[in-house]
Amino acid sequence: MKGQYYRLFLSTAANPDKVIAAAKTMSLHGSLQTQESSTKDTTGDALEYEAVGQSYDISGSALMVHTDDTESTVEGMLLEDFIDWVKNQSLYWRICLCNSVNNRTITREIAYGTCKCTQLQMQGQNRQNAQFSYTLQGVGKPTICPPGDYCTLFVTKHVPFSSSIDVGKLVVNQFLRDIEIVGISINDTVQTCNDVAIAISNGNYYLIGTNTEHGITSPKGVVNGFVTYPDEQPLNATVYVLFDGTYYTIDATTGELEPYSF
Amino acid sequence: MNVIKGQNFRLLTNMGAGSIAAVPEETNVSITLTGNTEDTTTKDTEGMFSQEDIVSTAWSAQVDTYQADPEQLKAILSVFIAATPIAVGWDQTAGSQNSVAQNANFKRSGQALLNDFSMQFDDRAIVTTSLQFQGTGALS
Repeated sequence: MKGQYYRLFLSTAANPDKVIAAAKTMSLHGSLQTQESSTKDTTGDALEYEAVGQSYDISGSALMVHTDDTESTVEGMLLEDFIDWVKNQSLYWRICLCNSVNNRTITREIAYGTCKCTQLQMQGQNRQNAQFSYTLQGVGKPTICPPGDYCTLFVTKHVPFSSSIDVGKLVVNQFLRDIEIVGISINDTVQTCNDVAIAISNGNYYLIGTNTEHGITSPKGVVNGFVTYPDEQPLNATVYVLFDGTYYTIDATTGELEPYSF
Repeated sequence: MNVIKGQNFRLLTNMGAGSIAAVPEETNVSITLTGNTEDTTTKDTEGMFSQEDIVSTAWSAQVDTYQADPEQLKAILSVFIAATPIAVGWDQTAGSQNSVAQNANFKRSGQALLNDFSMQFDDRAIVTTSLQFQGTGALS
């Protein structure tokens, strides 16, 4: 849980969640506006204060790397993205704890909210290491994420033909929260497979359907560990999620999220 | 004479819940007690020196920490968002490890607002936080 493990992710409604590429520093700052609330009724001479306003901002710096920089292999949000994205757009921010320095796999999500970029500054020298710095002014109240590991949804298929397909990234990109698994469709009419599991990376595994339940099923039960399949055939599964009153499907292969009506 | 060393002086909070305890991984601490004065000089005062009288008192505290634990960072955010006073105080410890309290006469506590915080995540191993508290009401 070192400093460099904490990363800032940004997105807009139209652009996916991106970590700040080649980030150097990042800080979260908040302040209360207080006013003295002592009155003639106050006992003693100690002043009393109350909070009357709140604000926060995020600032940081990163090296300037570019999409056409053939030497750069750093993925993430670049200065070009900032310039394109900050045209009076609301940005969504998240501060997450990743599992290693260079791996952007999120293990804990700390907080998220909405902000606007109020300043971009580029600093260049007569040498390399050009940097830019940014200031993001928070809009409204940030949300603190619940304790525990970050939940990543993924669909499991049977080994050895498949590996876990991470659709959690898609979920993050769409800023979906409080996802409820409502069913699963198994488009497999030939192979005999037993159970399909959706796993959440905090250790809970939800058994949500079997191959005998073609179409929508809704049993949700916690099982201890991954469900294994008796055969070794790949499974083509569709996951349905419910968010904000709308059902979506997630294609386990492409990761596309589509509104769905039953 | 027993000298109170820097590391023997620690800030305590309950971060909005539970009992008051030492702030985890704290480094620098400062407490400021302020007596607000008013010049009570009148026409009857002899000489030119002002006659200051303390009409109100205030206190504030500031602490820097190394705090990389995500749950501790969330706790700071929670206190900030709640914007209500929490328990804040200070005491003296017996050694340099901030663990064993001593000298109960030195301990003070009160209610304070977390009126400013910052968390710095650099590109190396350190996460630092800086917390500023505005005391509200008297110390006990």
